[in-house]
Amino acid sequence: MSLEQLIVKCKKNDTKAQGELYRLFSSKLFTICLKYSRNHAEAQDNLQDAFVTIFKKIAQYKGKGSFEGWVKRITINTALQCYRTKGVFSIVNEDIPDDSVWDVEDTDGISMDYLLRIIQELPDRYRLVFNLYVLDDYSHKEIANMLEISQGTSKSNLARAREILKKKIEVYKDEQKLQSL
Amino acid sequence: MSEKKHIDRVFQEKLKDFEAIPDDAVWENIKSELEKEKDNDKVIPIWWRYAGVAAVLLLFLTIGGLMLNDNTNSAPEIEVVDTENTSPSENSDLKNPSDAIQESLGLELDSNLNESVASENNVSTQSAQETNINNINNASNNTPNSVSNANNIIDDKTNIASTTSSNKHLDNEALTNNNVSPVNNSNIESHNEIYKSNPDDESQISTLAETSQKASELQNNNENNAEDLNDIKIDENVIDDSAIVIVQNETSQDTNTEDTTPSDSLTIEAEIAKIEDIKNIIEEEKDLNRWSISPNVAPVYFNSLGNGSSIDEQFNNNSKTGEINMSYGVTGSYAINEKLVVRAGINKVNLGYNTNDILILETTGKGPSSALLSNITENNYEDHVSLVSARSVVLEQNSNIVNTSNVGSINQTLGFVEIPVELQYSLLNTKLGINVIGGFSSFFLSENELRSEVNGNSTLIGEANNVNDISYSANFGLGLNYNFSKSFNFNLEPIFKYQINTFSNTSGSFNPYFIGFYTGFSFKF
Repeated sequence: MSLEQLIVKCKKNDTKAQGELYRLFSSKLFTICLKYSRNHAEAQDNLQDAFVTIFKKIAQYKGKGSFEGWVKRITINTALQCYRTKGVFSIVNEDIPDDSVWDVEDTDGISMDYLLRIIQELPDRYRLVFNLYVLDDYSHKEIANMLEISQGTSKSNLARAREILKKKIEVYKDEQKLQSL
Repeated sequence: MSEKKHIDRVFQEKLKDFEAIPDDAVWENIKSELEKEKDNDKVIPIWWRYAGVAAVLLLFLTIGGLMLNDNTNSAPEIEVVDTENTSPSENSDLKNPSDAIQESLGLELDSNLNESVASENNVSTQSAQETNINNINNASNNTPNSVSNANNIIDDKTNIASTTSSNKHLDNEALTNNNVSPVNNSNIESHNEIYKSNPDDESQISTLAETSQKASELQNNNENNAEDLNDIKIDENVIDDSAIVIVQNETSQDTNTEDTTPSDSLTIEAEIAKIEDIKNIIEEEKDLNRWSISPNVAPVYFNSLGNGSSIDEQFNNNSKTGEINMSYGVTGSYAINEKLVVRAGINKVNLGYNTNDILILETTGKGPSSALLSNITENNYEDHVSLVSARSVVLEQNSNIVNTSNVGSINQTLGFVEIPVELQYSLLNTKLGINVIGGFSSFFLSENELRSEVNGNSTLIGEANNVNDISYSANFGLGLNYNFSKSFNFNLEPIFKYQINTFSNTSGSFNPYFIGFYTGFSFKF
């Protein structure tokens, strides 16, 4: 069954088609949820909410743009929604360091799991901005609009996130060096 | 070894192909959530279920009402029966004075009576008394009343034994009636009325009595009318001796009483007429179908009074066109009396209007529209629409900037479940009826949609977040109905509904209203 046919059936609330669509996109969307959430359990909750929204709103998908892009946006929005209501974007820090300080050395040995863990460990606002800007290619203008913050806040939050992540990567590398000795 | 990389790239490269599989439980949860959603989608069918329950309730109430009506009808029926009874009992009452005459006369005419009664031939006794009639008639006025009274007396004379015995029966009946049912008040009334008419009789009787030279005794006895029952007892004693004769005469009692009825009816004509009137009124009331049920359909036109917008301040001066939608529902009503009807119902109504001259810009990604239009909750993740009043743009800038192909309208659609409660007062109640209608409605929001319309393309923007879940309206209208029969009529009711509290945050003076032309058939029962 093609994706188009699947979407048509999902619009008619066909449970079987919904199951198929879930199998098709669950892992991709779960990855997004993992990046945007604090932990595995929260990511699963977000994924659940995202899929419920997708199936509820699927009638509004008119075939413009890719379906994957549409479901990803819903998933990201769902993840953001949970923090938006919690009001975690109140702190503004405007001092932004120069871009060159974010270079890190020798990252081949760093596992993907570790990178994901340190993203999840970031404070909520830093994590969301980092994900949106770095991993999902949103501009600071768009982020500012989505999170209802200023562009300056978005930039400073990104800088904070990078700072923390860089430190953690360096600590990790130091530990690896110590272990290899 | 020591290759330097930007931290962003490190994450981008490492997480590019990263995929994780969620627990199976997640899908189960989604499925159950979706099922819950499906149940929520059945909100309208639930309303229909409520409507069904309401209809069943109405049906039960109606049956109950009909049974109650039957009861109330049966009560007047008793009345009717009693009024019929009263005529014989009136006879007895009428005869009570004559009983007294009988008593008084009986004492003197005892021998004659016994003879007459013993003869078992009423005709012969009547003929015997016809001479008396003549005497009396000669002596008394020739008015029919006096004649009838005379007849009474004569009949009574001829049938002293039988009438007294029948009086006994009748009065006993009357007594028991008095004891049993309150409806017998009418009896008492009629008794009283008859007593009132008695003074005439008194005088007449007294004149009669003068001829028979028993004036004083008669008057005494007539004065004792109230103690008729005692008199009857006395009669009983008096007649006890001729008990056998009474038994024999009992066969002729019916005919006698029947005979007396017409003569009595002459004197009681007015009373009977009154009673008949009451009977008619009761029957008319019985015929009034109090309950009715009317399914209705109405085209409804929605618009607002004053310059204002339910969407945003910038659209206050934009032209607005109301839409014609449909309302359908069912109304049950109860007639308090012939003029006043109280009614309630349930309607499904859709309302909509267009705000024209809107510059509609579609953008991908989150646009600034949501921030601009605080009354709209955008719920489309695919298309983002920016809405600006074309008027302001045209006014502020060179009109060439505005591409007219992007100028369209915003269509707001609202669906409600309406529960009207109204009073209907009848101005004209013939085959063609005219009523005035007033009341209020409660509205429960069931649909809420905002669409942009450009060149025939309709795009869902989202929903208005300033529409209250429950709102009200004040209703005024005129009802016209054509009665095909007593229980079936056609209705046309133009009703104006001024909406109160529909929007929580409007700009300018936005006072929504709608006009519906409710048409339907009523079934009365």
